[in-house]
Amino acid sequence: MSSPDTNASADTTSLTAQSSESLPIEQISVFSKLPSELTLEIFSYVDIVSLFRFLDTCRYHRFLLLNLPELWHRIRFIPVSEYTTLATASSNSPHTSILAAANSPPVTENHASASSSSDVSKTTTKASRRLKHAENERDRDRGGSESLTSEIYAVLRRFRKSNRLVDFVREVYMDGTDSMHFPSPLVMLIKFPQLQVLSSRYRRNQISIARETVLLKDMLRNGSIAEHGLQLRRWDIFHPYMTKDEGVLAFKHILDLISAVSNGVALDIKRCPGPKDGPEIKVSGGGSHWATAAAQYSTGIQPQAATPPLALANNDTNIETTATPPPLTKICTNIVWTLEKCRVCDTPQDRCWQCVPICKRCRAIRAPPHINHQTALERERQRTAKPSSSVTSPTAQNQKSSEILSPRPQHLKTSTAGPRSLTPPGSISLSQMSNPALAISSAYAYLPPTPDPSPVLAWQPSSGVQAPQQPSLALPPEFSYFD
Amino acid sequence: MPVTLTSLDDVKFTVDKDVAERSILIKNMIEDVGESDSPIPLPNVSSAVLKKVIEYCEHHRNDPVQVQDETDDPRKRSNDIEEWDMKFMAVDQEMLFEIILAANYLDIKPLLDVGCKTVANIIKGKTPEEIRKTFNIVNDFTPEEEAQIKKENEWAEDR
Repeated sequence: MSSPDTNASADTTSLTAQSSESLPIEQISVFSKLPSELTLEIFSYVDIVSLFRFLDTCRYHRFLLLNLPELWHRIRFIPVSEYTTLATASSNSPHTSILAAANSPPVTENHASASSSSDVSKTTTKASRRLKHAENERDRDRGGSESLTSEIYAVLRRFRKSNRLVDFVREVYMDGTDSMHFPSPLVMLIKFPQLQVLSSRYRRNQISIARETVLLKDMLRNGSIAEHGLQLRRWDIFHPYMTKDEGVLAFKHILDLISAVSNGVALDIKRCPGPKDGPEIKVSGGGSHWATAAAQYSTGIQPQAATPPLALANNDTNIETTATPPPLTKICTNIVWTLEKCRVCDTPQDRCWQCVPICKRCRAIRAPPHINHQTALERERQRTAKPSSSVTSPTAQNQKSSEILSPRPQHLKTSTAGPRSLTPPGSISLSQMSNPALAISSAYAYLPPTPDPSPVLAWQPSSGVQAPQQPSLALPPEFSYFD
Repeated sequence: MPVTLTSLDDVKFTVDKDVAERSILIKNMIEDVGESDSPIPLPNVSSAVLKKVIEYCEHHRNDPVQVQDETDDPRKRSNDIEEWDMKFMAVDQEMLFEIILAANYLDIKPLLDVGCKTVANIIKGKTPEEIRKTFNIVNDFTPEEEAQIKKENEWAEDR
C-alpha cells in the first residue's frame, strides 16, 4: 500500500523543502537517526492527538510519519484525564535540548511522564493541573478539557477522503474515554470506512448496548450505513459494570447486518450460558445461603418459584426434595466478558460469577467483574510500584503469589487496623481480596442477622491453601444490585 | 564463563555469559561460534553506550526471557516502566537514542521497549511548540502553512 498522500494530507503543507534544505538531515531532527521500524515502534505508544501535534512541528516530521502507512492503521485516543496527568508531569520537568545534550543535566521528564504516581499526586495545585494547550483562561482553570475536546474533533476532521488518511485506519482504540464530550464509537464507524477493529472499553457512562442498537438501526434505515457496507470484524465494548443483558443478541444481529465480514462481528461480551456446567451447589431443605440467592437474582427466578407447593409444605418428609431449586440452565440474563479470569489463579471463566460462584481450579469465591478488575488494578499498581526488577525473580514471584493466597492476618481483620493503602474509597484492597468473604463484608458493612451455613465455611480448599478463619458471612442482598 | 565484548572504539568489556546473552545477537554468535576466548566485536556500539547496555543487562540478568509474542498487544501502554528503568533512562537525548539503536542492533527487546516508551512519554501531552523546544526542532512552516494548521485545529464554532 502506498503511503498517505503527503501533499494533500497536509493540505497545509506541500513537502518541498525550503528552510530546512540548508540543514543536513541529521540536524533537522534526532528522529532522522532512527530506522523506520523504530520510529513506528515509538509512535505506536503515542495517542493520535499527540501524533498530530508532532506532525505540526516541522515538515520533516510530516514527511517522516506520513511515509509510514502502518502507523495510521491503528489509532488510539486516550482519556482527557490522562492529558492532565501528562501536562502536570511535563510541567514539572525541564526540557532538554539535543544540541545541549553533552553538557546538559539528565532528562528527567521521562520519569515524570511515565508517571510515578507519587510525584504526580504531590502536585495538586490548580496551576499544575492546567493544560498548556488550553487557550483561554476560563478553560484552563477547568483543566483545559474544552480545548482538548475541540482538538480531538479537529484531529478527526484531519482524516479526510481528500488526503486519503481515512482509508488507512483499520483499528481504533478509545478505551476509557468515558466523557460525554468525547465522540461516540459510532462516529468512528462512520468516519473510517475501512475500520475492522473498534475498541471502546471502560465507557461505563457513555455506552448503552440498547441505545447503540437503536441508533444503528436508524442509521441503517435512513441510509447512513449500507447493509454489509462496513469492514468491521470486532468491537470490544465491555466495561466492568456491564452485567445485565440489555440485548446483546439484537446488538450482534444489527452489527452482523452492517458488516461485510462473513463471520460477522465478534464482541468481547456474551450472554452467560447459565450454570449448567458450574459446580454443583448443595442446597439442603430450606437453606438460603448466598449462592442460591445469587443464582435467583441472576436468573430472574422469583424466590417463591423455588419454594415447595403449599400442599407439600407441611409434609416434613418431603421438604428435602421439594426444596431443591429447579434447573437454572439457559435462563441467566447476565453478561460475561469473554476475557473474564479468576482474580486469584487467572483461570478463564466462561460463565458469570453468579452461575459459577466458585473458581473450579483454585476454589476461590468469584466476585463481580468490577471487583475482579479492581484486583487487577491493584496488582498492576503493585507491579509498577516495585523498586527494581530483582523483585521479578521467580522466588519473589512465588512469595508474592503465596501472599495473595494466604489468609489475611488476624490483626488486620478489623477495618481500623493499619493505614489504608492506595485503594480508592468504596473499593477493596488486594489484601482483602485474599479473603473474599471478608472483603465483601468490609465493602458492604453487612452482617447477616442469622448464622446460616455458608459455602465459605463449608469450603475445604485443596492444594495446601489455608482456609480463612472467619465468621459466617452471607452475601448481602444489595450485592446482586452492585451496578 | 566470562565473555569479552569489544566496542566501536576498541574498548574491551568482560561480562558474565548470562549477562551477555541478554542480547539475542550475542547469544546467537556464541552458539554459532562455540565457546571461545576471542572477543566479540560490536562495531556499531560505542564504549559509552555499551557500558550503559551492560549495566542494564546486569541488572536484568535474572529476568525471565521475554517470549516473542506473535500477536502484539494493540493497547500499548507507555506508563508501565519500572522505577529502576526510568532512572536508567534518565540520560541526555543523544544517549537515549543511542541506547535505542544499540538495543535494536543487539536485539535486546526489553531495553528497546523501555527506550521507545521513554521517547513516547517525552512526546505525549506536549504542544507542538514544546516538542520543538524539547527536540530542538526548527519550525520551517511558512506563515501561510502555519495559518492553515491553525485553521485546521480550530473549534468548529469559532469559525
